[in-house]
Amino acid sequence: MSWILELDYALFRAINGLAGKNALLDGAMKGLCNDHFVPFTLGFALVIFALSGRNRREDGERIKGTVEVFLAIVVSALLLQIITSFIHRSRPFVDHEVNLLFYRPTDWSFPSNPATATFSFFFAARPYHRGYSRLFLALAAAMSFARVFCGVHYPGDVLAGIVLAAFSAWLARRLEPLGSPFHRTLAYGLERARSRILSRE
Amino acid sequence: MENFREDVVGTVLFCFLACLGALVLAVQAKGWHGLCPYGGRLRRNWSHALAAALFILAYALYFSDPQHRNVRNIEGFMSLVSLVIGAVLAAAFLAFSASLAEEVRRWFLRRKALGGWPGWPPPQWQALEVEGAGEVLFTEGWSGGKEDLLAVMEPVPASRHLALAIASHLRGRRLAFLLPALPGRRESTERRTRALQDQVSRLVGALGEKAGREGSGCRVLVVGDASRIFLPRWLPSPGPLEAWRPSKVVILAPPLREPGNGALTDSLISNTPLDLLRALPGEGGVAASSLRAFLGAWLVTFLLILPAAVLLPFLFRARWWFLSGPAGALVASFWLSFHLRNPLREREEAGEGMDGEAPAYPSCLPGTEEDTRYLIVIGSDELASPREPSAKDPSAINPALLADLSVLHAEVIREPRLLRGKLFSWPSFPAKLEEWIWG
Repeated sequence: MSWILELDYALFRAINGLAGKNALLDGAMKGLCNDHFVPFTLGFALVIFALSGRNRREDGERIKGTVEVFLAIVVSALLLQIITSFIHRSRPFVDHEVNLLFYRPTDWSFPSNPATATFSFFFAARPYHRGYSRLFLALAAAMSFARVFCGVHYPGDVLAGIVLAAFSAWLARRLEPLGSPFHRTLAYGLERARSRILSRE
Repeated sequence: MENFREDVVGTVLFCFLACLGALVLAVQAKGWHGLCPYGGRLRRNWSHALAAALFILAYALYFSDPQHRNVRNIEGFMSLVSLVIGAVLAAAFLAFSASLAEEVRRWFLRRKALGGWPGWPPPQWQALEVEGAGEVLFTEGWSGGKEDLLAVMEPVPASRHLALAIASHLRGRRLAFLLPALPGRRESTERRTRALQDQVSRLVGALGEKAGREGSGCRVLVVGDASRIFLPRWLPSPGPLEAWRPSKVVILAPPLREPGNGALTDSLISNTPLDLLRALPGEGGVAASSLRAFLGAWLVTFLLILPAAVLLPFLFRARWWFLSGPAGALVASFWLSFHLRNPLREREEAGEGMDGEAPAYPSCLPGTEEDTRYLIVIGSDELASPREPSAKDPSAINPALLADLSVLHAEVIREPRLLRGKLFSWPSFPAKLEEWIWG
């Protein structure tokens, strides 16, 4: 077990060691590391994704995908709460000397909360649209890297977050009946809107 | 000591502006001209510029504040709530701005097109009201002759304005307008079509009695949804217009059948959200009984769940418990009541499209005399454009749609400038209309 932690720390040092050498890179990483920048960008992209169907069938599919993303995020948040109540891993800056470019979060480090949430977008949307899921992946990967770069997470936290997100998305897909009333109602509303605003205008 | 700033209002504003940008992009991509935020028809460059400006404004406003950059802010749950609230506010604002911009635009256009505000009906027109069928209006000397025009308008309130605008542009022509009453939109496709055919037959009868029947061979203009009167499956014999033995029938922006599910697109009215609200009283109420039953069940379930849903986060000392509790109750009660009283069950079991249209539907093709010339003009419609991205010609018609129309003796053209509901935003439209009718 200890060799995993050592490897994790070695990886962390390699990535975090890049911080403080280039002001431009530091600025970009601080932006990507921000609690709201990437998650909200993903949220806005999800709004566009939900409404970008070219016909009724695509509308229905994308609404279903959007509800599944929400469900995956809720499932991952619940699982994350359970995990953090059993596993208490301190942030890197608590135990080590790090290049800290961000504020000092007070919650536990493992698994990475932002990585779990952002990768849930990717894993849940993947079956519905490749293009959007690639965008989600790029943003999620960038934020996760930035969290390590800025010294607030170990790479292992991010990896655990990715695994948790993948499991949550899988579970959300299996729990489709839970989301069914929402996506059916939303798809119905969108179809009515399509019929009345587009077709009847 | 951790520096902590919980700025809910700022975050909601950020979400509102960015979601507005996202919605503008979605409206442009979908071609929902009724939700065009600046009125008139959607313009790609305008929409993209507006969306980009909104995104830049949102991000610049939010992240220019140092407290939003490197300080702990609201957490996941409130972020999600802010996103949902921002999206709902953005949708409401878009609906409001689209309605307002379109009302202002129409006000100026009507004033310009009509040269003032004529009362209804205009004094120089003869008007008949046929109870339960609608209105007939015709100008002095109209007899149904070859140079006369009989226009069958859409069964929507806005057709009065369209009639006035057409009459203003075709000044000097002898015109008759049939304005059918609005058949209830809650009716099935078949009942609505039959009602419309019956209404038009009665209006034609009233016109014949009043204007005399000596003329024949007039030109007929059928606008949008009114071309349902040609649907052969339900066409009464003789057809509603055969009394005038038209020499030419121009069908403007007819209903099209969406490939795959057969749902119809139709109508010329520009449906801004305000138009939809105005049309509600004529549609026999806001909600079907199944929806009312569902809403009742949702309310009861919500009230039953609410105390427990609020108590739980309160006991666990969750932040924003007074918000997360009711929000959780709202979601849980929706889920529960949906399973108790599914408002979509009837539609889904009937296999109907979501908007109540029958999935299989005959094309709108003229079914009257063979010596009548037919011209069908398809407008700017996503269904009409060819699917192949290589097809650059804007007047090209989707071959699948042409095959679906299965018109035997009609000329079909596509005029991309013809935008349903916004006919007169195309300046040369009246001249083109004249050419289509009398050319």
